[in-house]
Amino acid sequence: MSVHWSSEILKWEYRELQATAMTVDYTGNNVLLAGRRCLAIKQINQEEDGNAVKKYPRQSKYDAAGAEWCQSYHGQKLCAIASNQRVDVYEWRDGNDLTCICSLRGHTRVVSDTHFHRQDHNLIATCSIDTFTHMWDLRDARKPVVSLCAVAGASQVQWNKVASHIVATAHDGDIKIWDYRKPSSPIHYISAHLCKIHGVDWSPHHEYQLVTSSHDGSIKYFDINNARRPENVIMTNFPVWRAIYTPFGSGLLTIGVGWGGLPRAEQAGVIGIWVGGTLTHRLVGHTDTVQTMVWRSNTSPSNYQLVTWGRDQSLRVWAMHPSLLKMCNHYLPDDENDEDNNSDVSYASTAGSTNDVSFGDKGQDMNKLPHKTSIDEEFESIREMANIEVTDMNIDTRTCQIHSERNGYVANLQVTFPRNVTEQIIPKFSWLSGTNVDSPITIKILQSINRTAYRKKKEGHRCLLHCLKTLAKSIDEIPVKNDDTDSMKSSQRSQSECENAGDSCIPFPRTCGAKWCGVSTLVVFNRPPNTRRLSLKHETGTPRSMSSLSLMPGLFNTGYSSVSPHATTTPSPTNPPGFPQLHHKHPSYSITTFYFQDRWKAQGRRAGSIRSRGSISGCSSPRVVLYAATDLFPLNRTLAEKYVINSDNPIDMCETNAKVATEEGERDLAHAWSLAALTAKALKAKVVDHLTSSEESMGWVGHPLCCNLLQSLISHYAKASNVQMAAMLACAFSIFNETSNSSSQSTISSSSYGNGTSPYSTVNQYSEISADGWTLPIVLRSNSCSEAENFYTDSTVSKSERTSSCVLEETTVHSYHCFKRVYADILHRWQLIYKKTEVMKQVSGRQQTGEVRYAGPESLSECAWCGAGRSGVRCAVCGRAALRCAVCALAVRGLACACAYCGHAGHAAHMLAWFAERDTCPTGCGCKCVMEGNSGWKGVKY
Amino acid sequence: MITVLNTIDTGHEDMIHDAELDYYGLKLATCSSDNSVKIYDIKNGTQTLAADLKGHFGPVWQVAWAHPKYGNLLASCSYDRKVIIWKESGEWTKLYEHTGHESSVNSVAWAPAEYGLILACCSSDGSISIIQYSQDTGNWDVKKITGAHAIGVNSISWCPALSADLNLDPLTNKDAPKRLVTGGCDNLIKIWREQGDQWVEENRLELHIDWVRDVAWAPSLGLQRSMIASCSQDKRVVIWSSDDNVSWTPTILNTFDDVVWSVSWSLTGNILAVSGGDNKVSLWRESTDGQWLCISEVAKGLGQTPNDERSTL
Repeated sequence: MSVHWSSEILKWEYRELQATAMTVDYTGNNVLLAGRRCLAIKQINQEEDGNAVKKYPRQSKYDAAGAEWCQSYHGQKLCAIASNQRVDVYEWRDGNDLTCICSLRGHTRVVSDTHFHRQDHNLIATCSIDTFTHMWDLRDARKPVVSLCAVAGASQVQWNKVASHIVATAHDGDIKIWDYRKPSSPIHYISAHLCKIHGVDWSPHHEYQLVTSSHDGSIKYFDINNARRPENVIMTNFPVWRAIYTPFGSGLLTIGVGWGGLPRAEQAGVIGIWVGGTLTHRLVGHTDTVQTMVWRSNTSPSNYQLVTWGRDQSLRVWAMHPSLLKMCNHYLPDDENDEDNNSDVSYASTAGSTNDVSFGDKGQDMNKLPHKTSIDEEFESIREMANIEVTDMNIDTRTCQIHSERNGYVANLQVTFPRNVTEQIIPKFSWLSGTNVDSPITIKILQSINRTAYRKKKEGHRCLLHCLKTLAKSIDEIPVKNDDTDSMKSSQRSQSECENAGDSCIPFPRTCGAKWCGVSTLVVFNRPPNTRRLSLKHETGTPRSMSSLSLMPGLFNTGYSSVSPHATTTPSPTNPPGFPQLHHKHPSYSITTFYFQDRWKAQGRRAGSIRSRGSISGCSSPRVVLYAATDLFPLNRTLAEKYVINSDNPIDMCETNAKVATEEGERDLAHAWSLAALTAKALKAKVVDHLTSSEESMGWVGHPLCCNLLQSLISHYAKASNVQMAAMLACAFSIFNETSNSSSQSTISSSSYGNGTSPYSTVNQYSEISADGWTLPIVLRSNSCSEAENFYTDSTVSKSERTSSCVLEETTVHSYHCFKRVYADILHRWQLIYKKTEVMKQVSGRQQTGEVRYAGPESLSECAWCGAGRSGVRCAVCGRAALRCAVCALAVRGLACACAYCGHAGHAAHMLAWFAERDTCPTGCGCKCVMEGNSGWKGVKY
Repeated sequence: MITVLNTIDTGHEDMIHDAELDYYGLKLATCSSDNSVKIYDIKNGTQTLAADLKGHFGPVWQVAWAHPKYGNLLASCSYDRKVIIWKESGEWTKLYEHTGHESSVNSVAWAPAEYGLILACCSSDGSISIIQYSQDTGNWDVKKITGAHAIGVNSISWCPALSADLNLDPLTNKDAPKRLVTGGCDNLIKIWREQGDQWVEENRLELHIDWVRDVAWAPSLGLQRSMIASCSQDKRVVIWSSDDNVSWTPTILNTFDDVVWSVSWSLTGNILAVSGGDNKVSLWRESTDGQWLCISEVAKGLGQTPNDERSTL
């Protein structure tokens, strides 16, 4: 599996700022860079600004250890900057004035991280290596309101993205989860890593999930309610500085640091994107370690962008490719144009509100009323819904919580309505604790809920009710759990599912198939008979996508074996050691195991890499069987070889072929040939009796079967897919190559339009046949306008006229040519090349265009006498034969040949004689024609 | 009666996903989950391994032979998002590698030889690539239809060049309009036509209620009626027929016991081979009154015992 990469969409460099921290504000448009000397704000939505930043001097002897912009709407003007033991909170007023409103002094050692509460902009958490995590109310910043105490110094503090009271702190290799309302002790304690944890990030979709990244090179996913072992582990071979969730779907972004004794240049500045435990994408651009990466919030969902600041002093903005969003199982609205417009709208609105915050406030206040009612309506709409319990509903925070329990699955969902409700922004859905649905499935359910929400919003309807219906339906569709699945198994299952999350749109591999190849060979491959499909209790039939392969409980006993350090940390030339490409968990391992379950159990649990090989070799190796199905087709190679094609003498041809068919035991074909021979005789007789017009010679000619018979024969065989016979009969009668002229055709068609009660029986006949599906129109008619008129008025006259000339309609002739072409193709496949050529000679090309169609290379030479370019034999300018022999210097009229290299030509005989002894060009141009133009001479020697 | 010509132990280390004979029926290409493509020379009931092509880094889903007038060319597509065109010149080498897709490439198909050397492929990223070899520059030009099917495209097939259109020269067919049919995860079948240098969606056929797994345009005998066979996860095979390539009428061929994975037309376009998840292969022929009848079922476990090797009509 290859790893894709992309580079940034926007880039600025600010060396002079010496910034050590970066943050992006609520609107996603303003970036704060904090250095020792100054703070700078960059508006990244305004292209025309170029490199311009607003600078605010800062006097400190310490670097800024961290900077953070408040991410709630009301607090969008606030930002916190940590330096040494202090945290300064600034307010950015009116888009140009940055003033320090308070300083938080309480830590006794360096502050390592700060984090504003996600809803309450007055609440900020700070942590320090003095082991304390303080929470401050900015309205009274003299001392912290809550202090959380631990034994080890804290490196990270993160508020939960869903639940407002939960906060996680990282202490060396451990994670503590706190409820700040109960500060005495953590509610959960996770021994996550053996080395220091650099980064913690809460899942944007789940209340109870977080990911940690550590100096030991591993990234671990935890469910805080079941934290004894990680849900999932990704091993890398570099210390991981940060690992953050993608706000969409199930992806993960990582930054490495070059500390682990590995050359920094190899991995510095590369941001890895992981989907389902596999490194699938890299963002390449930074030339040194990336210090901070932040999602631009409040840009449109389909337009996720990442802002990064690296040690190379560059600020970069990255866009996430739609394919990536899809791989992360993120729902993309189908109508992208519409969505783009929408994103522009939200851009504009957010930008407006930043530039003039006071105005924005007013606007919001004015808009509030209708929005509130819309939320009221939304909430009202779900009160009556069955199977869904609304556990909490809060119009102030614009959230409601849903509880649903079906089939043993519990789903707790929180719905948060966006602040600035425009018609098309959908609510945010996230999972709460207590949900016992596997995380990949929760992501999928979110995707379908989002899809419903988008659709309803687009139609201008309320969406909540429909979203919850989708939720209920999705839960119903989850396979019912086996009773015996213990927690170990289910967690393993979720791991493997997670791994193959990207496979959900890849169809389930075919393991059985049949293909017609050649003329009549059926190529069949399928599973050996001793395979037994693994039966899933809940499933009927074969699954549709590859992701289902991983749904089998108990198959992946070794869990993450393929992502073990042995498998992953071997750098190969193609994988720079910085971001090792994981040995992709082969879907085939799963496809084999899918059908070899018993074998699996018997062979026991082996290491992942060995087992796929072992399993298949234990059974017979896969086979392909070629079947000859010649009897199913009326095509006969022996006949093809023996048949003669001689359109000059159709009688002889038909009689000979009748004999051939008899010899081969094809009696019905022989009969058809003899009938054709009779017709041929009659046709020949026609030419004679054209002059005499004696009564008895009219026998076959005047008989309606003369032409009709042949055509019915051909159409019969074509209908029976006997192209061989149809084409051969068509070949026998070169008369069929002539078409009626187009003028008569048009006359007739117009006359048939004009008269509803036309005696033109052929028209009816035509329509009947075409209704049958095989349009083989048998329309016989005379070939001139006047005769057509006659026919129209007097049918007896036209009858004799008609039979005297056997001319077919254009479509019929065309289809006969097609039969010949198909038959020629069959002969080619049988490698009867001469026969093929004979048949192809009977296919006449389109003559109306007037010019000879010659497809292939053509030699164009210039006239030897006057120098004009020409392609024919005779020069168009001087009128003389254009080629002059290089040996005898006379004009070439017969067979000529030319050196492909120097272009000198001559009589074929002369040239051959010349080059039999010499190897240079007879003109003395110095060209070693025999060597240089060798390919050109080859043709002559044959 | 169908008789066994050859039984080839492929020696693949994992499941086979596709096998195809070349134009003359002399070379067999197989591809497998062991990431390799193997080529066998087939002669008089014996076979020799001619090449073991390694270049993919994921399961190889499909192989396709080009018309021999362009030399011995084989295209393969894989889970690793790549399409590789292999060429035999003395020995088998990689001629071209197409890496324009962002997800598994599920199907490849060469255009009718009349149009030139053109390969179409489709991917789970929802797009279709049409790769054309340009004789003048020696380059492969890629055209892409993005967003062809939501979620992904599973199968692709070309409309035959031979057509009943009177304005086309039966000798070359070069100017026949190029058409493609694709089946995708949005349960739709779409027909695409080349207009100028653009590919436009000409038609969409709705009937399947689950992912369409395979589509196959029936070979043409130059008759008015064209047919497309499609099969789906919904266990059904549908025959679409049209007299003008514009309006299509569906006929449900059969509803099978398990999902249907592939459909394949015989050269003369009258017998359809169907295979699916139940490991069975069946052959279908249209009777004169338009009914589709199963003429043969190749039982599962075929090729194991002499008795099984023959299946009767």
